[in-house]
Amino acid sequence: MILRRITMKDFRQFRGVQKVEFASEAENNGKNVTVIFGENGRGKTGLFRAVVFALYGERRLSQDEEVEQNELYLVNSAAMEDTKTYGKPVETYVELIFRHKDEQYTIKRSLLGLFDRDERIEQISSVALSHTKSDGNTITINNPEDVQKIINSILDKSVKEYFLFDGEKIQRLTLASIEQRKEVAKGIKSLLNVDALEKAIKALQRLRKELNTELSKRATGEYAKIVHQQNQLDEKRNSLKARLEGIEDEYTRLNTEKKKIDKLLEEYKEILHFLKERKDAETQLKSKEEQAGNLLSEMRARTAKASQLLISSTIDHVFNSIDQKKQKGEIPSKIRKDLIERILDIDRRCICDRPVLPGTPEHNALIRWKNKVSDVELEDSALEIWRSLSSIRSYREDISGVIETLLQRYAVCKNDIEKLRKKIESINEQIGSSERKDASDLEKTRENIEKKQIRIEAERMTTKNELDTVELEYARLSEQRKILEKEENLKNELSQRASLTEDTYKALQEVYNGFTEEIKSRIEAEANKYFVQLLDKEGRKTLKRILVNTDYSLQMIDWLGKPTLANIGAGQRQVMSISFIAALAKVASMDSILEMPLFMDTPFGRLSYEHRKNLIKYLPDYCAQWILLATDTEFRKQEASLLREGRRWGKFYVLRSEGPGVTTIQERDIEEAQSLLQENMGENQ
Amino acid sequence: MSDIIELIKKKLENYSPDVAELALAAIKSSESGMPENSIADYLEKVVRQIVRKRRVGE
Repeated sequence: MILRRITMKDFRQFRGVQKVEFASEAENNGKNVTVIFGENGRGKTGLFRAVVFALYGERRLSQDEEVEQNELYLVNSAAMEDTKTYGKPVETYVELIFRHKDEQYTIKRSLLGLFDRDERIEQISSVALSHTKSDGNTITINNPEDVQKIINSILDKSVKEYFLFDGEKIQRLTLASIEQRKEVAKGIKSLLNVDALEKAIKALQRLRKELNTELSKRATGEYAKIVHQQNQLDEKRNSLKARLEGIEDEYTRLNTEKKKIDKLLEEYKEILHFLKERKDAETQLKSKEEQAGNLLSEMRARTAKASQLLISSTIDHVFNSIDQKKQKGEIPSKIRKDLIERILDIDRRCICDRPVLPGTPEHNALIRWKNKVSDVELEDSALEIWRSLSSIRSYREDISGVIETLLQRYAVCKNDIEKLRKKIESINEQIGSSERKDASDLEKTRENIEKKQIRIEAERMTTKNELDTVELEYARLSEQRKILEKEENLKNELSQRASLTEDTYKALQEVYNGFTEEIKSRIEAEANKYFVQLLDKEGRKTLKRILVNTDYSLQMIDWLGKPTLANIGAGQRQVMSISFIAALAKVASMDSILEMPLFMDTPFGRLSYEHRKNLIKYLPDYCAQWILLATDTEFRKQEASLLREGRRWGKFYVLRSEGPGVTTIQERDIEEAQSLLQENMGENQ
Repeated sequence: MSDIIELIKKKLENYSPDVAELALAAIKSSESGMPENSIADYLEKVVRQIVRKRRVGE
């Protein structure tokens, strides 16, 4: 992809129709550098945003992380103000023309901006991609998904940041998460065309499985048994590989997490003794709170029965009254009332057979007696009440003592809790910021991570051993199968088809393994070549080489041979990322220059002058097209002079402010740069 | 075909002509953007042709 021209209408700061024609070797006599110069706030990032929007329809850039969705507008604000007056929506568009593999593409994305009452609304209205083929025929695609497929096949979205990047963020390529790295690795494979090889292997694997299944149905005897076993092993191998991949990912994720914790712990070192003290106090507090809780539950259980304490005087009164009667012998009575009634009313004779007739002294004595004694049932009830009250009275004495002890213990416990809380509060004050409160958990989390890693490591070993066993067994069966085919002269077509597929699958797998390793080594070698050229003297003293990992993530090795990526500065990270990108471009194009632009938004901000000088000197030769959006503080007359000396500088544009929120793009002669930059320097001074 | 695939083609010269032919057919069809199952179906036809050609030769 080589960019030719971008046209914007009412996009961001660019009021009306504005355009930039990019320098390219083919059209500008070997000059491939375009400089778009503007002070901060003039719209350099607006232009960068326009390219990303045109290609991918993305409104947001990685640098917009902290900007709210409803605060980011693409339609020019001055044009939007006019809609308030005229009531019509504003049509904004970006049109980007580029060349790819000698064919021309024009992509145009439009956007409508309007006001709904006072609310500003923006809607993507259309996208159109015109593709003019080498035979001169042009086709236009309007379906957004189809457009995206084509753009991704030219420059995959996952690696776009390798070629279209914001200088401040380029160093992030060295800090990607596992998920990002996976995406990037996918994009790089697509760029290198390795994904086609992977797809071919997968398709052959699928075919192999189909043929072997068919073969196991048709074959007989030992041969059928072997094919069947191989099918089973194949399934097992796939699942083991997937498991192993998951284990590796988890291990790397835990490692990243551990590194983050280590960094935080380093910051917390100064407060570690406070943290330990607080942790102890928190443990004690927890135990005391538990103790207080237990005491409360115990009291609750006891007090359910302690309501008896409220009626203790009544209980005493009733008990004493029955007890007195009992002691006097009135309860139980010596003679039962029902016996006296029987003598008086039924038998009319005493138990000694003497008649007892009304009016006789015996009769009168018995009536007096009868009035004195109580009912049998009443007596029984009174005795029952006496017994119950007696037991309640003894329990009451017991419970009041227990509750008093419990209350005393609870009070002590509450006092301890209060003291511990005050202690923790005081430690927290000494620790300071509330964020640091989490620090005490870090050590524990780290320990847990290490435990998990040990477990995962063991699982990895087991899975790998299992996979090796499966591979060996599969290979053994393959050999056996071949011997059987030979011995039994198995020449049927199906077995030959299965055998050819198996051999081709193995061959492509071998080619793939060797090839990816070779590609990685070549990228690494090229990246190091560029890195040595771009790095400043200071960096060369401490940094030895870039290491490219199998997932295309990067590591920096210092002169002691130790990984040091975490310790290098932002400028060095930038140079490292640029070296990798240039190497990737070179390897992807098989040692020529990959047709991709390097579109850099303010890349020099963090670079030393020597780094800038090296980039200006070498970068035009590393890439097919270099588009540099630079600000007055990073692109001064020295840089301009160096760039002119290289004879690759083809186009120069200046962004001029024409009032609040309105910028125009003016093309200038490169020869004017020197005086213009001097003037700018003068203005700044 | 891309330059990288040309390189792979060279590497396949170390294998038997039948294997190289099938492998190249697999890569070419993968590059065309066909889905994996369609590639497998297409490759089955290629395998059939290669084997028949070989059997006729024998």
